[in-house]
This record gives sequence, structure tokens and C-alpha cells, in this order.
Amino acid sequence: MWEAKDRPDLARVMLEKLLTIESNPEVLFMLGSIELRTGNIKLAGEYLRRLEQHYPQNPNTLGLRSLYRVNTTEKQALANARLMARAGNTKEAAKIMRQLFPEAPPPGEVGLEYYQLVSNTAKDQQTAKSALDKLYRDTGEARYRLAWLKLQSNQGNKQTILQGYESLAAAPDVNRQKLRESWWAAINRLAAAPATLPWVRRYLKEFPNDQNAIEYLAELQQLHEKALRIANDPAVRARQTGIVFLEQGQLENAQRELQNSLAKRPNDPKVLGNIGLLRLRQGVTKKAKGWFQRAARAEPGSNKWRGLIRTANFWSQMKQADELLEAGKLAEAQKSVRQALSIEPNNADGFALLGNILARGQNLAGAEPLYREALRRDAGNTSAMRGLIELLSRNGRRDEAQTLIAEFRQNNPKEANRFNESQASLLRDEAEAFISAHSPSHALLALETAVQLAPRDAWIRYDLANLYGNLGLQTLSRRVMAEGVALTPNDPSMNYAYALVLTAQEREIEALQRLARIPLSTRSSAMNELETRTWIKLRIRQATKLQAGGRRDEAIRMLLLAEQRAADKPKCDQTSVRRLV
Amino acid sequence: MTYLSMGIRCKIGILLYRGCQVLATLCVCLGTVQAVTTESTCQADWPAWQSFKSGFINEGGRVVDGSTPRKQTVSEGQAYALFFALVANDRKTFDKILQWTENNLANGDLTSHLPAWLWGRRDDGNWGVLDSNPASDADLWIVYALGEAGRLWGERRFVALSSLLANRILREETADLPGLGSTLLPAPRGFQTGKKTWRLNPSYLPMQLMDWLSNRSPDSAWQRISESSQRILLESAPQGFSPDWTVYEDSKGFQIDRTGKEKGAGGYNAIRVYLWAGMLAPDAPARPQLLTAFAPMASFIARHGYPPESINITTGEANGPGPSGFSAALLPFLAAREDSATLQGQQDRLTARPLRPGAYYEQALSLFAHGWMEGRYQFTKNGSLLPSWQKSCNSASSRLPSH
Repeated sequence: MWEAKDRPDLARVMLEKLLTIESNPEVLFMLGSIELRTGNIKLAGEYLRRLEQHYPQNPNTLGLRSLYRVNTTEKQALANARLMARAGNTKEAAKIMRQLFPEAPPPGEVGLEYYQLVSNTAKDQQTAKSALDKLYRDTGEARYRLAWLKLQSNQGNKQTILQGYESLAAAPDVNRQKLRESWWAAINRLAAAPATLPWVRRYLKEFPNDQNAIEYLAELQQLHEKALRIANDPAVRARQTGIVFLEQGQLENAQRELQNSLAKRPNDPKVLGNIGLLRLRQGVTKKAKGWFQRAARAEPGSNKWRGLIRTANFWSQMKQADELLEAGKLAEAQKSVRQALSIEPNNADGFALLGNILARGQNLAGAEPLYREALRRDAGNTSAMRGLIELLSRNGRRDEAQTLIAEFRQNNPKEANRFNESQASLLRDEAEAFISAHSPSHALLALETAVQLAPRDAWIRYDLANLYGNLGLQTLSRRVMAEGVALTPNDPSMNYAYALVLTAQEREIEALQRLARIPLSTRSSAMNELETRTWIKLRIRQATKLQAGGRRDEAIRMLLLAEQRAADKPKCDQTSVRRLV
Repeated sequence: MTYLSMGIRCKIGILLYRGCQVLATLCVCLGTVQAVTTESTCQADWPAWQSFKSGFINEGGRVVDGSTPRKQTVSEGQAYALFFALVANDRKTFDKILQWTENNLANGDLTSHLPAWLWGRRDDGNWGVLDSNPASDADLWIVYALGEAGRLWGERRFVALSSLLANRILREETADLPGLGSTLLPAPRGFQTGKKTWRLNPSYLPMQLMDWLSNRSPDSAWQRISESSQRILLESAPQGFSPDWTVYEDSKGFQIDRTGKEKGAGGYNAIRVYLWAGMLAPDAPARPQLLTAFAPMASFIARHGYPPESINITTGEANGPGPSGFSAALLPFLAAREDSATLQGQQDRLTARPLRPGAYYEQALSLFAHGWMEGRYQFTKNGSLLPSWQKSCNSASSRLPSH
């Protein structure tokens, strides 16, 4: 220990004392190495002879022999190695060291020198680290641990290394100067950011007068306060909140927060860019592009906004193509999609839209490969899947469509419900086929399954209700629709479909009640016609009953009401009314 | 709930039946039995059902009687299996059995066909329907299983199939017999044997099913069938022994069926009469009469230590002991009659000579009887099924309509 702390004189006294008690190879080695260090070659040689005499194969003997060598015959070589190292020629220095100590280097300071030099390759480093680790575990000496930590500097968890230095500070035998140098070097490898503050503080606890550290601490504290100021800045907070809302899809909230932030930070690229993303999500692609451009101007070095501008352009074209497709302008729609694809040639949605356009133009043979191209680029792409499923169904290849869906489900268990509506559609078609083939039982199974997949679809329910009705199962028929309106009480289609079923069962009052739930503003002409027809039917039924009960006058009044209503609606059939009057 | 919870005073003898040893001390202390819920989980754990499945039901949902040369399937087997699957809460197997039945016995559509009664290997080696005549006992059980499954599992389609089949049974398998009224015939064809004679089968008429059908229909058609069924059960067994087949003749009433191979005796068919009667709810209207009427069978068993394999229903002479499956079939009946000694005797007999694993019919009887004895299911007064799993599982709406 005293040797490590560079107090060879004290070491010597202790060791000589030990030697008088007992002859011990370790003690002999240490005394020998001390004598070598202090230049007493002759005395060192005597210790070596004693070792060779009494402990010929002992590692201490071998170690002292190497040390003796490099202090006598190979002294020049070691000096050269040291020179090289100091001049920065570590490669040459390492070479010499290896030549000097072809097997293991001796323990002690020379050994440490060796390891520090011969640790350039990863393999060497690993060997050095293992050797140092072993030495530390064997002897408990701080210098080995310090050397080991220094070697860790290039990899490893920076914080663990710093903690290593910190604990080493408590070791009584550690060389404080070397520790300080290594530790400080390690701190400087951390980023110059507020997160480094606690490490500097801990270093200062051990070395409170280190001027560099004191200055660095002040610097970091300033950075820290600045960051806090920014973080607490309400405009910055608004920006961050806005971004989170955007990620969660809460577009209105995102809009509000980002606008707030923009007012105070009109040139913040993150604000500008995220407003652009918001617009993109809202489908306003041209505006989105404008925002991205502003963001790019505010952050000239960044590529991020350029990429998004391209995306905005792409979606602009896609949107246009969509609108043209809606309007039936297929050729122009195709042109737009192709333009979009020229911006992003591998975009699956582009291929899928192209497929949709061809499918709309009845070119199913052309559409199918496009859908498959889309799926090759993006397995499970929603537009492509939907398009392909529908195409297969139209072609009567329903089994293939089912397989497609089943495969998707198998590969994406978390999204098993994604194509439920498509499958429900398929099943509906299947049911139709079964009904035509006089297999109502299979049709029932298909439609019940379809209803489970798309419980809010009014017309699938309607088909099922009709099927039950045709089989004579009126209550079940009504039950199907009742279940539907329980799920979506305000859906005009569901109420309308229910009303249709009720009128077919001659339950006019209930049908009218159902229709009454549909607000006038959302009524279609078909719904209004149904209402009128049903109303008339009800009156006729009531009139018939009255007449049968002998209340002729009332019956006639009832029929006149019916006729009047029929007359109001020129489309209505007045013959049934006339017949009874 | 075990049968004990039906308000029967507990007696030590009854306590010793299988699966209830724990209750023995309890009962003696308390004097009356409290309802004991058997441990029920959503996947009703019914080992006997698992064995039955692996022994007799193939992967495609067909119940196979391997002992027959044609490896045949009868609609009754499918029907019973549907019922057991429902009691076991085994939806997957239920679906498979139903699908096989519909596709292979009913031309792919149960809404428009009653199932054929016999299927198997034809002479040319192909497999298919061997006799397209339906069998009304199977049809009734299918109607029941579908209806109750629809209610318990919340499956509209099952309810629909049940209703439609029930209507078809009324249309195709019933007839208005003079002096008897609307009657369920064993099949659409072949059972009117003369201008005024009909061949009937009492074991095709479980009263719990009749009660169920009467309760669910708005019109009285099933009520009338129920009435004639009860008469058939009672009047065809004047000495308290039910025949396999009976002949009804206008103005003459019930006669011995001399033409059939059973020669008017009661055996493999009739054994079910006692089984169904024994499982009626305590407050079922037909129960008291039936239990009293068939007392002689209980006495026979008490005297001989076994049920007869075949018994002359007039003289009460038997040809020998019935198989173990018959003992099983009689357990509920003996329990219902509170005949603890005889009950114990038959249980001992079963322990001594357990059922052969390959005996399909006996295994089916055993599943009915032991399932009921173990409290896995019971019938209510109006014939509804109360499976033990219903409490622990959130079963679907029971508000489904019956038609």
C-alpha cells in the first residue's frame, strides 16, 4: 500500500519487519521491487536470488525476475517504451512492452503501465480489463481499480463509471491525484447539460477546491435555469400540450393549444410544423403545405419539413383524385393518382386508390393486381384490403375473400376486428346466394354472423329480419330490429328499416312511432312516402273495423281522411282508398 | 343444485348416493337439506361427457354406434348428444353436432326438413341416409335442445330452428286419433297400421318436453298433444310396466303390439319411460300420477335386485336381468319415489358391474341419469332446462321469444 502511495521508505521498513518474522515470497517480491524502484539494483538482485533459491516457480519469483530484467539488461527498452508512450506513439510503445513481457507483465506499477499501453485493440482491452479486475479482487488495491475504471471510459455506462470513481475516493490507498484526473476526465465526457449537475456536485464534495469544477458548475446551473425558464414558458407548454393532443387525435384541443403557442412564438418551427401536421390530419393538404414551408424557413438546417412538404403534396393529389372519383371523372382521377405516385412511388394507398378507380370503371382484371401491389408494400393496408375484398366478392370469389380476412386476423391478432364490415358484406352476399338456392338455414347463419360483425348496419339487420319474417317468425324478426335501435337509437336508417319491418307485419301504429323518431331534417323521400302509405293503411284498417262494427259514419269519415292524405301525395295509390268508400 | 334441494326431507339412505357423502353429517344435524350448489365453472367439467365424446362422437360431429355393422348414426343419437352438449355448456361440440345433423340428415336445411332417422354405410360402400323416415322422439329432443340452447346461449337462430321444426312436427308427425285426440306419431310414415289402428311408442313422449312445448306455443296444439301423451303413458301400461310399443285402436283403446319383435313387451325402448318420469320437476303436473302408476316396476326391482331386460307388461314376467345401463336409467325414478333402499341397491349393482365403455345406448342412458343425479341439470315445472352452469356463467338473455 505504501508503495502504491509512493512512500517506498515506509514500505521498506514494514516489509523488512515482516521478513524477520517469516520468509515470504510476496514480501521478498515487494522488497525487491522497492529496491529496484529506488535504484538499489544489487540489493534487489539479492532478493531475487533468495526467491529463486527458495521459491523457484513462484509467480513472485517470475515477477521479480521480469522487473529485474527491465531495470538492468532491458532497461533501455523499457525507457524507449515510456518515451514512445509519452510521444503519443502508443502502437510502438505497446510493441516494445509485448516484447519485454511476452507472457504476463509483473504486478505493480510496471504492470499497470503495461496494461495502459497494451489496450488498443478490443481484445487487448478485454485482456487488460480482466487482468486488472483479477488483480483488484486478489489484492484489494485501489490502483488496479482505478486503472480498470480508466479503461472503461470508452464504453460502458457512464454513470456506473462515475460512481466507481466516487466510491474509490473513500479507499485509503488510492492515489488521489490520479483519481482526480481520471474522474474529471470522465465528467467531461458527459454532455454539457443540466443533467450533469449532480455529478459535478458529487465530484466537488471530494475535491472542493477544484477551480475548473467550480466554474463548470456555475455554467451548468445557468443552463439549467434557462431550460427551466423555457419549460415554464406558457407558450412552450402550450406547444407541448398541443403536440400531445395531436398525437392522441384530439384535433380541436390541439388546434387551440398550438394557436395559443403560435401567438407568442410565431417563429418556433415546432409550432409551425405541428400546425401543418394538424392541417394534414384535417385533410386540408394545401394549407398543411404552407405551414411546413414556414417551418422549413424557420429551421433551415432541418430535412424534416421538406419530407412533410412532399407528404402534403402527395395527399393533395390523392384528395383531388378522390374527389374526381366521387364525381365519376375516372380518367382525370387516374391522372391525379399517378401524379401522387410520382411524388411517393411506393405508397400503398396510392396503388389502392388506383385500384378503386379501375374497379369503378368495371376493369376488375386491372384493379386486382393494383390492390395486390398495395398489399405487397403494406400488408394489411385498409383501402387495399377493402377494395380487394369487395372485388373478390363481386367476382363470386367469396371464399378467397374470407381467406384473405382470416389470414389478416391470424397475422394481426390485435386488429382482428379491422375488416369486420367487409366480412359482414361478404356474408350478406353469401346469404343472398343461399336464399336463391333455397337454403334458408345457411342464409340465417350467414346473416346472424354478419349482424354480429356489423351490429350497427341497418340493412344487414333488415335482410335478417326479412328472412325471419319470411319463415313466419315475426317476433324474432322484430327482435332483430329492436336490438338494432337499442344500439343506435338515433340512426335514421335503423329506424326506417325497423319501420319497414313493422309495416310488413301490419303493425302500422308501431311503424309510425318508429318513423316519428326520425327528425324531419334527416328524412329521405322514401321515408316520407312510407309514412304516408302506412298512415293510409292504418286508417283503412280502422275504417274496416268500424264498418264491421256497424259504425258506418265514422268509417266513412276515416276513409275520407285517408283519401285526403293520399291526394296530397300524388304518388300515392288512391285505389285502395276508393275501393272501400 | 342437487336433487336434494327440491325439498325432499333427507334420510340417511338417500345421502349415500354418489357424490354426496359430505352431506351425510350435515343432513343428520339439520334435518332438512339446504340447496347445495355443485361447483360450477363456465366450462362445465363433466368427465362422463368427455368420455362419451371421445368414445362416440367423431370430429365431424357425428355420433357413431360402432357396435352396428353399418357403423350407423341415428337421429336420436344426434339429439341426445345436442342435449348433453348443452348441459355441459360445450358450445363448440353443439355446433359441430348440429352442423353434421343438418347437412347429412336434413338435406342441409333444418328449416325445411325433419332429419332422417338412419345414416350409415350403404351396401355399395358409400355413406349416406339409409332410411329417410324421421323419428319423432329424436325430433322432439332436437327441438328442445335447440330451443333451450337458443335461450341459454342467446342464439336467435337456434330459437328459429326450434320453432320451425316444432311446427313441422305438428304438421308431419301428428295425427288426430279418434278417441285420443291430437297425437304424436313415431314417424310421418308407417305407423298407421290399419284403418283404425296406430302403432305408438310411449318412450317417445317425455312429459317435460310436452310441458315445454305447451308453454311456449300461443295455440293449444301442443297442449292437446300433451294430453294424449299422458293418456298413452298411463293407459298402455295397465299393470304398471310400460311397453316398448303399443297399438291404439279406435273404440278399443290400447292393445298389445303383437307384430313387433318385442311382442308387446317392455324393454330397451320403454326403460326410458321411467327415466323421463323420474326426472320431472317435483311440481310438474304429470309427475304424481306417473310415479304412482309405475310403482310395480319399483317393486320388481326391489324384489329381484335388478330391472328386467324385457318384461311381459300383462303378466309381469321378465326374461332376465337388464343390463347395467337399465339400472342407471332407473336411478332418478327410484330417487323420485324416495325409495332409498332400492336406489342404493341399484347403485351397488352399478358399482359391481359398471357399464361397458363401448355400449353406446347404455352410456347415453347413464349420462342422462347420472347427470341429473349429480345435479348438473334439472327440469322446471314448465319444462325449462336449468343447467348448473347457468349460475356461474353470465348466460345471455333469457328474454328471447319462443317463436
